[in-house]
Amino acid sequence: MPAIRAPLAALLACLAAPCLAVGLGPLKKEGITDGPRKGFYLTVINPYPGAETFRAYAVGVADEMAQPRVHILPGATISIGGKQSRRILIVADDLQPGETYAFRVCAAKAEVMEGMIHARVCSKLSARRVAPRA
Amino acid sequence: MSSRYKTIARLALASLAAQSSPALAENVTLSGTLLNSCLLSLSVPGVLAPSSDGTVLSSENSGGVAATLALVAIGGAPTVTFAAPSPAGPIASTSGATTQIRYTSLQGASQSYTSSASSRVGGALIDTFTVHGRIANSNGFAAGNYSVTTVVTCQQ
Repeated sequence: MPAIRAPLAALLACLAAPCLAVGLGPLKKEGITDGPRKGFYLTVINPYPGAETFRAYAVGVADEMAQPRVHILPGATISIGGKQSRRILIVADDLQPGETYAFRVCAAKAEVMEGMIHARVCSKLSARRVAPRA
Repeated sequence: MSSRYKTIARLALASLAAQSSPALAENVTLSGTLLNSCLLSLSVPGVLAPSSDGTVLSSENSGGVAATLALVAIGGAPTVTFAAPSPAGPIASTSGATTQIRYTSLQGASQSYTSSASSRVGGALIDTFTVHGRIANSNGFAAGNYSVTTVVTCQQ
């Protein structure tokens, strides 16, 4: 019965606490800069009663392409205490004069559990570098 | 009575008068900051079970369980996107199979079985989704572990 046992074990594990849960905000943010970098603060929320590890990653605004121009601090993996939230710094790099760069940063539970749903929350970010005056 | 005692008496009377007058009005302010945010919580992961003829693995078959996903948003009803479902299991059985999900929500979302991505735009601040999944293969399934997975994204 291995085919049945694994999902049932996952189901039983979720009776005490949510299997997959994550919170993130704000869901949208825009900013202007006069330099090549723009930073944004986002808040990752841990809804679990105990400490959990989450991961944050940047993807395209309308696709799942990784965004190498985006750096996340303190890192892609974030440990948060139970029922606590933690701010993370998102830095968009290599902005060209006059460029508007839009992307998403998504947060999900670090440990991917076997199951029907992988839940994540994404924030849409947009950074614009002003063009130099003529 | 010396002028010194008169001064002390006047100050004492003034103090009593001040204490008997009504207190000055003061503002009491309770403040808070709301973060425009979304919280997704999967309370039941979902279980697939085989049909009696062995050609469909579904959460709606006897022994199957639907997945339950709770949404709590602050600041505006977000969009909940369900990515195209993907199957996992022995490749011989999943390669020619049809993988689909369907979902409903307490706040009125209703999506019939689909193999494509779908969205619930601007639904509600608080909602609970029930998600069913199935894999159909007319040739049946080899023994093994199977799953239907969809990525659910909350965003604006």
